[in-house]
Amino acid sequence: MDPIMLASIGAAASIIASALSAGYAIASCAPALASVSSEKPELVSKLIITIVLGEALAIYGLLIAFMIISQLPLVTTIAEGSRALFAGVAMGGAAVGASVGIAYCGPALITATVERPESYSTNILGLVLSEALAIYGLLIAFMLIA
Amino acid sequence: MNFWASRLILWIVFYHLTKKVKNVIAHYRYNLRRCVSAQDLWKLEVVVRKEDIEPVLLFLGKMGVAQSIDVNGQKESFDGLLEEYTVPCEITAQYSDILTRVNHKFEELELKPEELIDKAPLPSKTTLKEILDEIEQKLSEIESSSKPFIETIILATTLARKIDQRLHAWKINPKKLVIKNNISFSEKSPQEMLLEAEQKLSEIGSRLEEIDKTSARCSSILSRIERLSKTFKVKTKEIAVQEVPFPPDEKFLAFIELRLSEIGKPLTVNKPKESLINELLTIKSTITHVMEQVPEAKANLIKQTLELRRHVNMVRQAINTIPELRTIHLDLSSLRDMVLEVDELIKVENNMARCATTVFFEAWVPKDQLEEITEGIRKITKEKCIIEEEPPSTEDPVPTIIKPVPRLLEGFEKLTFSLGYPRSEEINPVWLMAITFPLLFGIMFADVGQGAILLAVGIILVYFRGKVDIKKVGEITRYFLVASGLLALCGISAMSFGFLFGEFFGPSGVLHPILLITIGPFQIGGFDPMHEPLSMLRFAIFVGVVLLSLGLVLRVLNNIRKKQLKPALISSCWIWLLLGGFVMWVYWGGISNLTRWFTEGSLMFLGLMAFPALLICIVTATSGGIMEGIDFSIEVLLESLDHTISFSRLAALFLTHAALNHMFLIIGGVEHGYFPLQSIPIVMLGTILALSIEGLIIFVHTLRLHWIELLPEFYSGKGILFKPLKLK
Repeated sequence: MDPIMLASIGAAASIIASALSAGYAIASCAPALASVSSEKPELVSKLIITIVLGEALAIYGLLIAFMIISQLPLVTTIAEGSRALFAGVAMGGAAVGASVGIAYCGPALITATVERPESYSTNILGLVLSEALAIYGLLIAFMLIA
Repeated sequence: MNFWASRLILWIVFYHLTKKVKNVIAHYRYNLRRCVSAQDLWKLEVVVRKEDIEPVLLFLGKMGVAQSIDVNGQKESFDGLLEEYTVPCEITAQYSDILTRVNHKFEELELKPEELIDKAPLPSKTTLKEILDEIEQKLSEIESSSKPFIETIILATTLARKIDQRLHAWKINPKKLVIKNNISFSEKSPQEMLLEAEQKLSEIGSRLEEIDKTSARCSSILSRIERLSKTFKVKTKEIAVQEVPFPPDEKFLAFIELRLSEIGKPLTVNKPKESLINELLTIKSTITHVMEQVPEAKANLIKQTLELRRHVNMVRQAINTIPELRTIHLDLSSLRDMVLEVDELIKVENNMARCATTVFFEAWVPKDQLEEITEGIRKITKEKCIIEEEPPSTEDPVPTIIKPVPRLLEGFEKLTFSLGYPRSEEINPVWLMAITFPLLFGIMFADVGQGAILLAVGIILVYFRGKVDIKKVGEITRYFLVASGLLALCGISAMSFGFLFGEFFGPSGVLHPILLITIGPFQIGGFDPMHEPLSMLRFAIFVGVVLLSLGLVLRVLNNIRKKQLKPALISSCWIWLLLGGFVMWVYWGGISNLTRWFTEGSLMFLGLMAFPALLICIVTATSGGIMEGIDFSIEVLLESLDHTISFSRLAALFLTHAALNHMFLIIGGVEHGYFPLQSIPIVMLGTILALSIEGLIIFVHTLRLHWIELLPEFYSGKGILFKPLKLK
């Protein structure tokens, strides 16, 4: 298979999977946040972290895709092509995992915080731990490309 | 002689300088100690007679140093001797009645309660009942004195509504009115002016009606003239208009109608046809002229109404500036404050317990004020009381006195305390946070250009922070103002790390990485992270290990301050384990040589990792059992590994930041540090994106590193804030 082709598939996989996962994460958290903004607007600034973390997934995917594309001229062998491909797949897959975590933990965090604001610091653990999954994928993808 | 004099002078100067330096150092040490360590709070247990309780409470409130403790939770420990002390029903009823009345007055006067800076003191009475009575009396005075204002305000409101209704019928939006300020006021009172305005409004109404009637009548006359002129076959010609006052009066119209009916009768012989026709034409032109004046007159009236509306608005505003109303407003606000203070007292009384005719309560009091307070209570109760002072036991939830931090650091304080307040014996981590937060943010956001923008924004906000009253700005503005110092410090840190990694609006090639120092395999600065991500990763892990061991050292200090020796030992072993693992990792060249740890490096492994882990296991086991010991040591092992790896996000987010900027640099065509003209808007766009989205993400991650990895090492966040009862 053409190495350029492999690398391009990697870039596409990275951005598509990350965008889908960011969309899923935001789509689950934003409605909960919207209801918070009508009930207790003072909590929104604290809880907007759910949406920001969801959006971050798309940015990671965009970055890996962009780094692959910027290195396309250097890709000459099948091995390099497949490294790029798997970098994209690693990023996209990790983002999907993180998005599932955020999509479940985010709304739970929001509802729990509205009931008892002091529970925020413990409940945010689930959210940030799921977000960490995407960071792991991002790191590995960086190492694969470099 | 000269030599000795100069020596003497030198000596004096030197002496004074050292003294000054010593003073400065002592001052800072004192401040630091005050910030780091909490003041001692002692528990005061008091039994007084029932009739003395309210004077004592008021005395405590005036001192403003005691925080009451809810004793009803521990009633069981008194073998059922104590009952809950309840505030008499009539006092709570009176209190809520007064509060409702005050709020109602505010509504009636269309005013809002004002935050008073210097609050009026509570009436100097000794019981709540008397205080409430006095407040009620003052309230009724205010109510009677505010009556004329309420009447005027109601008058103005109804008048404005009436005019609005009329304007609405004419399809004019009264909200579009521009209120001119140049309407001069006469010496009359607002009420008189409003009454005048009302009269004027009814006048306008009646005139309008008159005009409507006249125009209807005139049009009927015109149609009659039309009919007549058809029968006469009149040819239209110009006839001079006879001037009639507008609106024409009743008699004039009646006369014309009479004439018309006469003309309309079958041809009168007396008069020639010609003169009849002339008369008819005169009447016609006169009436037409009258009709022409109608719209103008109507417009004039509408204008007058609008003017009146403006006038009413002005009067309404003028009412608010009357000094008497202003005093009433202030009095009401201070009354409201007093009532709220009484509420505070009632809440404190609910914390107490009673036994037959005595009342028992407990309070936290700073050690320095203990004597003063006991003396005061003894004096008030005339020695008929029992007071016991005791230092807090370890199980007591002692409140923490939080020392104020400099304004520059209040953003860090907010961030730290959203995790919870420190316990009284814990080190307050705000100062640590003020160092580590910008450090971690700067590593991830390393960029000279964008850091400078952050710094500039921070400095501008710091400037405005001193000028603006923080309570009177919007929510978002307030967040920014509070975070002003944080932004400036983060900007400085980002700039310095930008120099180390050679970033200027991304890896543009303007700057070259500067090597700060090399510690073993760790380079601080001096490499391009985009091309050497592994060096960056190593650097991130290094920073992580340093910060985590710092956190553990603080944990040991906290344990020692709590006088818990076993946990202190465990924490020191934890540092040993963490640093030992780190040394192993460095010495054997990374995780990939893991097998050599157990072959060639087995002795080292035993000394640096296995032994501390075993020690942790044994020490925990002595207090909780062997299973718990194993459990805990595994937890420590995992946590050290997990938290250290978590710091690799420093590298990942730095790379994200650099790569995002790199993308915009490539699109803009920036090469080797040369920025072409057309690239500037693109770089600006990239900078805005980096500062907003990327900055937010990095901020969140920095916060996460603190809240989850760093602070929980030594900070429980389960403290209670010391909020003493304070009265004026």
